[in-house]
Amino acid sequence: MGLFNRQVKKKPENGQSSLEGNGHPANGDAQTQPPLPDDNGAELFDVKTAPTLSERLGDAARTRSPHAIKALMPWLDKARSSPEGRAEFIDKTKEVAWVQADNTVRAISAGMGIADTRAFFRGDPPIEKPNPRYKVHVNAFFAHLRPKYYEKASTKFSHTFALGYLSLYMFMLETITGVILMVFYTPSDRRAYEDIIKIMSEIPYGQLMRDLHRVGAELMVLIVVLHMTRVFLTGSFKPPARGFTWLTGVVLLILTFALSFSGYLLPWDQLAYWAVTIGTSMAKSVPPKEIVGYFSNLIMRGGDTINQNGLLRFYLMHVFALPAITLVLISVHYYRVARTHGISLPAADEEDPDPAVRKAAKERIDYLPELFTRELLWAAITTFLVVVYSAFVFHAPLQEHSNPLHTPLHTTAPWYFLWIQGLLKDAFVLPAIRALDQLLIAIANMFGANLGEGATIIVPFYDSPAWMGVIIPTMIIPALFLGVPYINEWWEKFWGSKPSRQLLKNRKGTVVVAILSTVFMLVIWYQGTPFFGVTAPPAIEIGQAFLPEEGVLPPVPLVPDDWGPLRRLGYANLPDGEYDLADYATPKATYTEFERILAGIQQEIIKRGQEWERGDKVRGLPNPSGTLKIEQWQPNGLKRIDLVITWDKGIVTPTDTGQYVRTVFLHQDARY
Amino acid sequence: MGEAKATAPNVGSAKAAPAKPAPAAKPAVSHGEAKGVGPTAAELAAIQAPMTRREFLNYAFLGSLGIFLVTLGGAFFVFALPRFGEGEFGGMFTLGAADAIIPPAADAPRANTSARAWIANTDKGVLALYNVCVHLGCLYAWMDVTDRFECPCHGSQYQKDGTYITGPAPRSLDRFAIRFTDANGTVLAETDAHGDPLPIPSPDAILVVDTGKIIQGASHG
Repeated sequence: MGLFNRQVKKKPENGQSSLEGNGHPANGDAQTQPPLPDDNGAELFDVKTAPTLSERLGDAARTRSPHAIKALMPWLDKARSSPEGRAEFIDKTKEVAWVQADNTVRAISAGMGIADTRAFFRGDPPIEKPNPRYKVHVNAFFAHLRPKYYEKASTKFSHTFALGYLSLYMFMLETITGVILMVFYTPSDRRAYEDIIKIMSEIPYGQLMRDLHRVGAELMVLIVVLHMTRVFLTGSFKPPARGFTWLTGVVLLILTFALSFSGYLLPWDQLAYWAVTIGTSMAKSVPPKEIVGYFSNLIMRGGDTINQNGLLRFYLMHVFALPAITLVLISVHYYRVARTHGISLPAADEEDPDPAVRKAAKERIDYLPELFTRELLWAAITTFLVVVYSAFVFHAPLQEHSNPLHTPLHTTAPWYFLWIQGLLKDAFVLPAIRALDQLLIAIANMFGANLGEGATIIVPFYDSPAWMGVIIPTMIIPALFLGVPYINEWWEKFWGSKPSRQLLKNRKGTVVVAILSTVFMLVIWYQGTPFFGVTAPPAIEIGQAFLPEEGVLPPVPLVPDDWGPLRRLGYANLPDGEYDLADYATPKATYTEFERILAGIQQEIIKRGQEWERGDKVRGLPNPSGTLKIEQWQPNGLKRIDLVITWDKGIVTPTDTGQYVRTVFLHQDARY
Repeated sequence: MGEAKATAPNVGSAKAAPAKPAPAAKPAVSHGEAKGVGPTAAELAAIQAPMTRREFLNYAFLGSLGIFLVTLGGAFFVFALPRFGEGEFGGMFTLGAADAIIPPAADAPRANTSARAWIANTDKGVLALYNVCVHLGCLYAWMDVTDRFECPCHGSQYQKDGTYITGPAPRSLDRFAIRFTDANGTVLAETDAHGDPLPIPSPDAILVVDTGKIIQGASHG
């Protein structure tokens, strides 16, 4: 502990003689002080003259020069007088310089000398004893957060996939890119959208920062979910002491969702506005609706619809409140992993009958430098991949400016909330209750109740958004909280089963639960997509397929949004003109890409006509035909595209106009 | 929870770790599950000791801090509640004369964005439907093709008078209370408590929508 053991030299007690003249006999001991040993009285004969400048400089140099120079001074005279003295002086200089340099390196590396620092980088074992690398863990703040060593088997990549580390990496990435974005963003309904456009088009690297922030957000959700799945499958939530760590992990999962969702509103485009409207409407149905639901919705939105108040509230949640809470919880979570119980060993190693294997699993591997280097490498690889992906593949979507007066067709939640959106479409419980209702009515009628069409018995008592949007998703959370670690503990005690963490050995029930819940999540996730349950009238569906109102978000992470084939073809490849789609009924091999799209629309129109003739009044159209018009709307780079679909009017319903027009304006600089 | 017994492999200091003897001489620390004994005599004495004045004052102090924090939470809640100004949504909207504003009975309903309402004319009379889907707050729209209201988000559908047809919505559409007045402001007709359609008293009667009074639709009626 050389750094901290420096002895402070006490000043000699006799101090300065000037004290004697001030009239304060402060300390009687001072007068009985014996003379200094080398004081032989010679100075009595010395005539004191004022020192010359060179003497004063020499004195100053001797008394005030740095420690190292002072240490060399006694050798200076010898060096002047003899060659041996010079050699001695050089040796002494080397020695002093070494001590100086070594101490400097010790201060910088927080505990390791020059030799040990080199050994550290060479991958050699430590030289000094005790291991100076452990000293770094004591002295340096960031190193003190990490354990000195891990058990070897717990650091296997195939055991953890470094998912916990990567979650933290993503949090840091989000913090850094987020702060940079904050510089150019104003949380105001009048400026927010404009600022995003500016970030994307004017500010150097602004688009990259926004894309990185978006990619990082999606990856963070993905990685946190995968981390949790890994911990579940390896049984790493099991005792000793890991239950509470799991619990903080569940809270962190919810916080990750909340962070991601609160950032959703900030671009202030149609996607943001309506996805968050749906999200906050769910809160509206928290029972009792009239009190909790009403007020929580009001508090979140800051009004009865989302407006400036709501934007500011979401912004503050996103940039301040939620990150602060998350940081605290990450600290608690990591402290428990690092200090309380460590990373679990792979079950197969820990439970191996061969003691040699068990011993090898517990062998130590130092954090410095092995694991530290490994982590740096992961950070570098991840940064590289994320930057390449957001620079060349994925661009964060931006739709049109939010319009509180128009909900775009097929508005969806982000992919990680599609399961809630699927639940909200209520494909299982509501039909079941309806069927039960019909049965009850039939029984009641048998007994002469005479309930006609439209009568209901139990359906009015069922509140779909409350159950599907709030109660069931919230019930999943205590199930994760308690269900996993604590019920597991109780379950093992109850059955007296041998506690094992190996999946296929004693945890067959776990495998079944995992598969069933995955299948269930996949099903409701599918139901959340626009492919399920939301049908617009057929002509609008054709328009949506080829010229969607807004970019359609894919139901999977990290895939760019889709603006339909016509926009994808691009401004430059859309020739002006009016195209009767009937001319493209039979596709030819010589077609250009544009003509192939026209043929595709015509195929869809023909299909709808055939469906009508087959008697499908919902998806079919009577005698449909279509026209695509492309006009140069403004001379400098704006085109207007009209997709007109006509059919026999007044047949589907009496008020039916028999025509649908989907109009889209496309600018030459538009990114889609 | 066995916290006391938890092995903490990564924690031990470098010097002590290799030959660290297990702290076997502390049976009283564990929660007694191993030995099957209760608290020690000293622990028992501490638990059963009468409350001192200091202990009571400490509890009272902590309790009052707790009450203070709860009050602070309440104050924060009241602080965060939005304030509504005059003339915003929630007040009365005078839309104009019936023959200019209200579509003919056979026609599609008309949207009024300032009052956030669809003005629908049915056989039985006029309705002002709140333009927000009762499912999750998206804006539904009238579809001429299918002759009904459809919600673009989760597919709920409603008839022209707001009656629920299908989809996940829990009830029929909500409607605003409306009234017809003459030019002097005298009320000619007014929505009843059930929010039933209101027949038009005369073509020049003025339609007023009270957006502060939302009548909920019937549950799957």
